[in-house]
Amino acid sequence: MKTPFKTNIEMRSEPLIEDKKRRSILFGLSAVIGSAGASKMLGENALGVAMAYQNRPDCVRAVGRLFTSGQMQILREVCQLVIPKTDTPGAADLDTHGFIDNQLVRCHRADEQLRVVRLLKLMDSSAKKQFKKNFIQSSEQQQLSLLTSIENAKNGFLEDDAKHFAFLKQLIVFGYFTTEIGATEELAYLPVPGGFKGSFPYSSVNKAWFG
Amino acid sequence: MNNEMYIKESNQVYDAIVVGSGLSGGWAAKEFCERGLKTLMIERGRVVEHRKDYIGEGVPPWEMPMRGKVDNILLEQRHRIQKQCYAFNDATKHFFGNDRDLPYTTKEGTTFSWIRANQLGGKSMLWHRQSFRLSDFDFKANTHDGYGNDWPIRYSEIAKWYEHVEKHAGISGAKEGLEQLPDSDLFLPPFEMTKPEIDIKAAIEKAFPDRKMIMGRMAHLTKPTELHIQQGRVQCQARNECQKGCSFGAYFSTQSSTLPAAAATGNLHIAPNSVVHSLIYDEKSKQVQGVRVIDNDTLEEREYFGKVVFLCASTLGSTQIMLNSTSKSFPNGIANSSGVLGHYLMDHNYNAKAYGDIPGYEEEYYKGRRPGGIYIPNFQYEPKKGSKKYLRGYALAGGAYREGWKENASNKGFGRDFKDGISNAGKWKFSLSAQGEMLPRYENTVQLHPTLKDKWGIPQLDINCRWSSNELDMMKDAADTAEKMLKVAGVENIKKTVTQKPPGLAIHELGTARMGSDPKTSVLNGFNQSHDINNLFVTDGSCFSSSAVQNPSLTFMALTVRAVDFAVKEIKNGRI
Repeated sequence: MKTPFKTNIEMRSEPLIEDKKRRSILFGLSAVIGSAGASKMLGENALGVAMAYQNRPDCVRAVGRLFTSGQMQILREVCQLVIPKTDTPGAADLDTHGFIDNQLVRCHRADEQLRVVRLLKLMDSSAKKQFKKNFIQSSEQQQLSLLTSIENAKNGFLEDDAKHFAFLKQLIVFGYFTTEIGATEELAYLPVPGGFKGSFPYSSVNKAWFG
Repeated sequence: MNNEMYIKESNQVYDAIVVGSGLSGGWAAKEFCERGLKTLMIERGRVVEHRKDYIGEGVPPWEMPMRGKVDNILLEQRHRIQKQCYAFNDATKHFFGNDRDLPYTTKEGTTFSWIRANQLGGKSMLWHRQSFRLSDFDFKANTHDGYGNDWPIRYSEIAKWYEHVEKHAGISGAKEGLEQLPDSDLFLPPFEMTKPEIDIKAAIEKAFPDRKMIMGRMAHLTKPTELHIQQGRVQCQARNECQKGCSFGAYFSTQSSTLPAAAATGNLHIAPNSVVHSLIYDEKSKQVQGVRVIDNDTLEEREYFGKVVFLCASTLGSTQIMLNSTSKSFPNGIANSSGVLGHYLMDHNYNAKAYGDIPGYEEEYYKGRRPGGIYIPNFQYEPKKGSKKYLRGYALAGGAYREGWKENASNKGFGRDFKDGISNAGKWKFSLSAQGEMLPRYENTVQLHPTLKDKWGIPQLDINCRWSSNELDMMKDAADTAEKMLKVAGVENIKKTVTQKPPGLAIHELGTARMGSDPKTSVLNGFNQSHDINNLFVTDGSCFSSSAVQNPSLTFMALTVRAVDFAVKEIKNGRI
């Protein structure tokens, strides 16, 4: 099926060799057996062929695999409200909404997909009711107050709405923190720790390990 | 690895045939080859070469199409059973079986999750690497309560073979001097405990003097010896992504350890993509002559011949082959004059858990991902120490860790505070999970399905296995007991759960071709040799007479090398 605008997956025809990853594995190996030995051990392979999700800065205008263009815009706003730009980019800056659209279709059940679609519709209809504006035209303050009500099942929102929002939030967090920026800048990412230390001062890293 | 090692057709009569290339098969091949026997290892699946074929290794999530999750369609079509395994993900899925091609049935009202790893290296690629010796309390367990038959061996007969395996494989751990969990003299240094674990250990051991909390013993090179370095293996890097494959060779697998040793002798051939259909039995000599094989890809038939045959095809795999090997003398499966082949299937019960929060330790953290946790050995290892409500006992495994971004994703709020809250390490958590012994019961059975076959024309296994009230009662008690231990350790917000997951998911299938002294009630003798056929040995988990509570792999390996040593002596003395 050819759906150029419905997919955010870009197939790569050539293997993607990620230099940073390769370097870090080589570094770990070198530390124990010397760099010549490490290069020999890993040879040409060991580093898998990647078929990575590709961010599309413009995808907010596109129809998603699951979402309409309107729903994508709402999701984009929600992503940025949950994880905003600070000294690192926000969730929408990293196309987390595009990722979620793809991920829901590829890795989640139909009922889970439907829950998120309904939730986005609910956000829009509630904004219209409360603020007489679409969700994306509402002010940031209005949007935040609406999402806070949903998250806490208050002001007319139900426990189920809160549960569905928690599910969406999990997706946003997963989508954001599994990007390179999320994993390596917001968190401390150690692909090859070199061994296990049972006691390590938190203040010397001051953030959580990625894994 | 040299390509001449892999064969397809061969008329050669090998000195030894080893069916399977996992933990047991790898050891059998190595030991035969090192004793100078021309050995053929038969593997039903494809070749997986060390390093070269670890395609998921070292790939960060952002380079994976679904960031490590597996596509729905693939799950539905190929991995409906395999996806239940904790180690199954996008970077490991190619080492798990394709459920569509590997059908089996379960008796109505029962469920069994059969995890498969049908490629060179088998489940040695995927195992959890916990390595514990059994003790005489385990070997004698069946003599106390009428369940199962007595193991025909005792600890003193297997101790030196444990040591033989540990030396080559490399097992990290600490000497503890516990009678129910024998030490090794060759332990590599144990992994470190975290600060909260050290304190919890002290609190538990003070409140319950019969219980010890120790570091899990793992087949990881915390400090490789010269022997390990010669194998091309280096120190464990604490990535804890072992099942993707480890180019460091830091954990024991066929690929990292036994296969290179076997290959180095020049005595090894491997027949990959060769699904063993049945064993060829000769009524005149009353021996096995070889194996009938169906090609994994082309479905062509071929045969391989050998003077002695070792079945190391996994518990259910070996039993399936034996049940499907019928002849005039053995109409109900080869080496089955006793009629117990297929019976006494066991697994371990992992269904009870307790966990909670550890207050404090905010400045305390760890570095690296320890590939295993702490272990509380079975403290009900003999009847007088056991519960009055059920038979046998359980071990507890677990550990302490700090919550990270995955747990923090359920935090409430928005914006910068929410973002910062996720990026910071959260509360310390501690958990204990039970690993319970399962009684050997005749009615837990596998047999061949009367009509259904797989694509190779081999009758499907029909599995009839369920927990008994003994296992269910034990899990309730284990959850309560774990909760009490967490309480004395100062753990807060304790939750306990008893789930109802079916047997299979501990991936410790055991029994179905049990050992015993009496040929009327067992399939194998104390050397894993068939009572009925002197050149047929079965050395995987199917030989177990009882499950004990320990992870069984180290014992598979020790029994295998012991059986090879015995078989080679028997051959030299002309008795086989």
